[in-house]
Amino acid sequence: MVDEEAADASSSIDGLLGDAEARGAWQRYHLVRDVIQNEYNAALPTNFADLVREEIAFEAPHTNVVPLQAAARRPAPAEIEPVRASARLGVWKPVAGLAVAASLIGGTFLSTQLSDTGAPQTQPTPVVENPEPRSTPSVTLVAELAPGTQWQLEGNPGEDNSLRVARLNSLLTNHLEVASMGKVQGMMLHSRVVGYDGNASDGESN
Amino acid sequence: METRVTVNQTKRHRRSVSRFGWLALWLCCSLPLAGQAGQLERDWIERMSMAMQGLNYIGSFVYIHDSDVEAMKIYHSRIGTVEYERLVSLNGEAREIIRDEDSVTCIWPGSKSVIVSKSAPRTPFPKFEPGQLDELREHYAFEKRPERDRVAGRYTRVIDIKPLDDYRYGYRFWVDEETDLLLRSVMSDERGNVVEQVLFTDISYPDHVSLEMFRSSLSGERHRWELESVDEPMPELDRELPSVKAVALPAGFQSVSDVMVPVAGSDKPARRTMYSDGLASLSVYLSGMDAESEKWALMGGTSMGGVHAYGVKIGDRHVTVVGEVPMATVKMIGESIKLAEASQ
Repeated sequence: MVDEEAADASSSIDGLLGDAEARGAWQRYHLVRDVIQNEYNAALPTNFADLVREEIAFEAPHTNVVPLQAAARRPAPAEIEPVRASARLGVWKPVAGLAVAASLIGGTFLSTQLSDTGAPQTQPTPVVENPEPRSTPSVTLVAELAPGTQWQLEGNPGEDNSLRVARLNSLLTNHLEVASMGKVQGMMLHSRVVGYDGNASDGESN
Repeated sequence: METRVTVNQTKRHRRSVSRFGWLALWLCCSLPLAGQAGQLERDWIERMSMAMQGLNYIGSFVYIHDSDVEAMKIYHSRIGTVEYERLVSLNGEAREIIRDEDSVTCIWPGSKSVIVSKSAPRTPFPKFEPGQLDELREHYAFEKRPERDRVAGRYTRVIDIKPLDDYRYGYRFWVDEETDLLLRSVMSDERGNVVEQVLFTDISYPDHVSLEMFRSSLSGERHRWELESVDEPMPELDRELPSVKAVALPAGFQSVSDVMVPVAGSDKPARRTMYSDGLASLSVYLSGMDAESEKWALMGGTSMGGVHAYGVKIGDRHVTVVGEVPMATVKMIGESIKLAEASQ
């Protein structure tokens, strides 16, 4: 039984080494691991990728990395559950800080998403469902994250707004990623997210 | 008497003809100028977008919002058809964002987070149809300011885009005279107060930017990093979630998409309807509510710099409006939404 498993693992590793795409995924997972384990600040050798490949056989599955959408990359439910159950807030927080990261696109942008139908709408105006599919960002890797950014939320003193902030950041990230298409500010729009997240790490609140 | 009337009528007729003549002449002259003005605005926007997406450039800039200043460095290159971008925070935590046509990778060392998201599909350089820009001019006034200015040591022309109502923000752009790259951008509210701005402090345009520059750095060392696509199917529209049946929109805003989107931390996607007037945009997110929703559901308004959000409960559903528009806009939309019955 153990021999069969070893043979399967060996076969999988052989396939991985010959697949550039799979190697890329492994590098990404290793970077995630480095960051999670606080090893990110250590300078890495230029042959980091080669070292990663050599160590693949000894790596345990990253149960703390939970793809939310990619079924193909999603660990077995048994592996996901403990992470989500023990760190539900952590799964939300990703968005909080990063959230934005992704799309990064913020305030000023010029979008080419003009609808080419219909005259300017009056108020109130029925909205016709537009089923045209648009690709949307999906969070694929999530790790522990610090409290969210500087949404100015009103509420009772002491009230925990972390989940509320995390969801807002997730929605903003999603919105900005699409809204940035055709932008004139390009990547600079992402600075909104980076800047605000930095403040969050300082524990400030605007 | 009759003659005098005739004479007077003739004089008035001549004056009338003369006035119509001048009117016709004015129209003949002004119409082409109006068309030319529209063309100029279209050219400004397209050239800025093309420069931002097509040039190789490396620069440092500051992002100013509220009373905070953040310094960052940006790398950009287009190699073949692929656009590479990398944004690095120069202050505090070494945050980075790296993206190509397939994925967006966000690295937050201090908060121990790495996020890889699927980037929105890149459209070719933005192209405005003639009618689209005409609609835009109904809600914004475009003006090229007469003065030159210097930003990051380079001469720029200055362009104002002023909203014609209080439902959207205004912009002032400083554009590199030689390259058309946006070197400074200011977003202001309806009273002219600056909401946020981005300002380059130095910029260079190398002929070639090595791919090494788009890999994560560690203490100055290059980090091996491969960008690959994140191929995930998009969720189909959830027929159990109703659609937005009616909403009070500022003039010019139109629905541009209606899709299901994943929400981090939740197994249940939300339904997003996006609206845009061509410059500004906002999204309406619709999701179900349950006993746990109190913890995440936004009720009322909130803001973060120039971004505003407004949440409201409608029956057993929750709606969040998010966009780079004033609070009045997201509030009006949030409070006016009527949902259609969900199709079974």
